[in-house]
Amino acid sequence: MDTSDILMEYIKQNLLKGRATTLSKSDDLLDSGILNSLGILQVVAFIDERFGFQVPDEDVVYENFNSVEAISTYLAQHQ
Amino acid sequence: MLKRFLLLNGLATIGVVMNHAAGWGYTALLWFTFGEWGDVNFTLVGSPSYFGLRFIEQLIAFSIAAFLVVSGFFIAFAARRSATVSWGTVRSRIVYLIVPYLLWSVAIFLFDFVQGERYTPRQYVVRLLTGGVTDGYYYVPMLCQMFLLSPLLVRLARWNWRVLLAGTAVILLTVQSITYLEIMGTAVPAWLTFWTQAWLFPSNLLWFTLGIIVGFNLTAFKEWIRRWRWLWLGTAILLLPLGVLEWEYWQAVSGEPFLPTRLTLLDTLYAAAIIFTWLAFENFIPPRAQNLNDLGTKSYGVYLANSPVLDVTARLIAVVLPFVMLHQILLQPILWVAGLGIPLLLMAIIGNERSPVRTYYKYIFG
Repeated sequence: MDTSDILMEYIKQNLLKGRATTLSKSDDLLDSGILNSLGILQVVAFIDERFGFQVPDEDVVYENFNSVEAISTYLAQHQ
Repeated sequence: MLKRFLLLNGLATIGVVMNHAAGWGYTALLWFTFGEWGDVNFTLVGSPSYFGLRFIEQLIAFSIAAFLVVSGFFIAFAARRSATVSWGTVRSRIVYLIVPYLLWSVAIFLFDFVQGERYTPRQYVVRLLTGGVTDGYYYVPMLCQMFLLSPLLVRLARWNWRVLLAGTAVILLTVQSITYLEIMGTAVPAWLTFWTQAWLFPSNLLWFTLGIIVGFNLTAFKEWIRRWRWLWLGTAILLLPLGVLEWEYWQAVSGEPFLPTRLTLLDTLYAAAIIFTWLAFENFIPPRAQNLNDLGTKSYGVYLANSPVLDVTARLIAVVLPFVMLHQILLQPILWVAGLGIPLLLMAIIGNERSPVRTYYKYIFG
């Protein structure tokens, strides 16, 4: 599984919790209501735990976290 | 620092459970004084059990403030680089707050109905709109109001965050001044006291706004809280006993034998000191940090479920083990375990991959 697949699986399991929503890697996680205040913190913690990469606080911005694709791109550039 | 937010949310979740359990502690002290339900009795006010409960209330007085700072921070994140946060985001947040809230409220109404409690349709509506269904539910309508105000707050934060912060601080000071006047027996116009109610935004707007401002000025805020970190810690330690004493003072001034606690100026300073201390001492990792993180992610579900669980648990204890109600040192830990453990168990069962109702998890626990 590549980074985006791992993230996708995590979001489906932990943020969607089985909710019957079709999610693609480019979908906006905020507009679709998947990401909330705790969701974004969860994803940051998961990245640290799973990929061993501590996201600097200043990088936790919409541009880097708006979709699975955006997070994967951000990780590819910084890891 | 952001990882500290999740831990802070976990701590605040424990805090709200302890606060609701302390509420049942007071109920036991005042109405179960002699081992059975009776008329209110103030004999135990001033006893070690009473001060134990007051200490708990004071200790966790940062919980709601912490939740709101985290919610405010999210709004700053969601605002992106636009002028303000979109109504779509606001709507989405409110929907995911309201659906579980309505579900739990209806369940509590049914429970009350079975127990013989009857309300008029108007009373049901008022209780839903004001969060008066059970202890702590005021938070949901209040947070919805914060989200509705967030497009305006973001614009103001981008324009001049200092003015916004000062403005919300003045609003909070006004609310608390009205509270002090009421305690002192001064006649305050009803239209003014109306705005001091916990379910309305003025008494907590400062915290949500602070979260937004922190989100927009993260680097500067981190440097600032780190520079003064020992001051925050010292202030928190000092204000913990002072907050308890302050309420004793106001209770004496009021002439009442017992006054349910309300948030005061010292509580506000204490909450700020605790939150800043927690965020500033980044290298301090508490024991069982992973569990605390996990709890932080489940805060809304625990928040909604713990009140009814504590209601049922405390009523059961009063029937089955009435002597426990007389000993806070036994009652409180039982209520903490039930108030945290049962909601978490329900969440684990419903959220399990094999659960047939897993699809509805988000609608039940948020």
